[in-house]
Amino acid sequence: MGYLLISKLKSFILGPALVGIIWYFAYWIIDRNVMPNPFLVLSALPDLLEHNVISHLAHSLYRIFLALSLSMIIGLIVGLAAADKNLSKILTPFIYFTYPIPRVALLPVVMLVFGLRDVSKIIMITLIVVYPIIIVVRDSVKDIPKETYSSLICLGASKFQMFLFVTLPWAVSGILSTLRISLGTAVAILFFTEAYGTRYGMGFFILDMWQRINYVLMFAGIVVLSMTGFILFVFIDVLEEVLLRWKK
Amino acid sequence: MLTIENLNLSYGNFQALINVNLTLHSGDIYAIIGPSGCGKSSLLNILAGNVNNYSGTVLLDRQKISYRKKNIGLIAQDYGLLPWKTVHGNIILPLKIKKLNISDFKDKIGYIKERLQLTGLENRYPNQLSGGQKQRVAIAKTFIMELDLLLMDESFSALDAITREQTQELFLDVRNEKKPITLFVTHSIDEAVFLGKKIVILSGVPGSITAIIDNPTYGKSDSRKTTEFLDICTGIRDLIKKEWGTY
Repeated sequence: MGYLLISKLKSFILGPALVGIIWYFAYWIIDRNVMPNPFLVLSALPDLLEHNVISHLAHSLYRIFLALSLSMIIGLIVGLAAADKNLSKILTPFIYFTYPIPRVALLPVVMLVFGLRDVSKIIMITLIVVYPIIIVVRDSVKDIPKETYSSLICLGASKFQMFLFVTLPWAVSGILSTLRISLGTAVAILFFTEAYGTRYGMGFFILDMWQRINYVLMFAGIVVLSMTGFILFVFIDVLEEVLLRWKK
Repeated sequence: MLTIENLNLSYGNFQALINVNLTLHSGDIYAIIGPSGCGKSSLLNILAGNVNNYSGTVLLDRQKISYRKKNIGLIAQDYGLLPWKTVHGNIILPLKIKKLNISDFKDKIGYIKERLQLTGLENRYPNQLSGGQKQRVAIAKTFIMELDLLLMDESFSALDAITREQTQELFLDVRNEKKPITLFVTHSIDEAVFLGKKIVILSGVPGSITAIIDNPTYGKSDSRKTTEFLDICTGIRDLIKKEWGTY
């Protein structure tokens, strides 16, 4: 565990350092106000506290946490149902038909039905993140070799026990890898949904600073949002290390 | 006693087993041998509850098999271990499925781990074990309960020759403590003759029982080199060739 934390800490420093180098080159080439000096932005980070950034961050984390949790629960349930031979006949055509729909285009409908506040934001993120989870869970459960269940069947295991001891651990492995891929999309949609109906959230803060032509604080907000996404990535990595130790 | 009467199994138009009749007496160990595709594994899968679309009767102690009430163990070719459970987790899995109190089995768990040389490996996952170690975990997991019936499907076939012989001997030692009715399927004549008190020869498509041979040499670790052992092996090989053509 100690080694794991040190390794994560290394990537925690290395990732932002590389971004900082690229950013500095961009600043040097562009040399405009719209691309401020990264050191200036870093020195402005403490100023964010005066702009209530903790509250903005807490609102964003609350929305993204709820949306990801909801996506995992729905993804697991629907994915498991879609792996069932009979239910698959109904669910698979539905998933294939609705998956290619550009769900961002449904925003006006979601806003009209669920209002402008948190519910519509959480539903928008969920709508986009849940599909890959459904498909990965369905495919991973379908791939479970029948023999894995054999020794449990002759022990008289109930369907629930087979789900608990075989299907669920197998599906969790798929969920975690999909969650990592979906996280980037989730943060992007979060930013998009915080452009309306709220005065709290990192998306709102960044857009607000942009409109005030305060590019230093706008970039400081982007840094905070990026770091939040980065911490969530590290969290999923740690979760995977703990839950999927058997794969190492 | 396990009784199999007029057992037939078809997959669509393909008949896998026809009119199989066999009675396994308490304490006995039966080896089923035959060429690939003769229905050996199908027969085992019926007994393990994995195949239900058969016709005929299968009775354990004169009753239809209740997998919840009876203790039936299966040692599969791929060991049947759950990769996300540790050695300890795999061993106690049958107790959890049977909803038994794990603490009541503390001594038995310790004994079986020691007996099968698994002490110190408790926290390892199956992918951190050698083939022989995995096989010993599969045996420990099966014998953690007092078995009514033990089924084995090519259980030693993935092991190298030396490990296979050592594991077979260790298996027999543990198995002979309580002597549950044992039926194991193999394509190895040597293995059948070493482990099987009775050797059931399954031949043809659809599979049917050609012969049941009494084997006085079974279970003796030094019997493998004896003339009697080799004669029985030759006799079985000739019988299968006669029925099947090649082997």
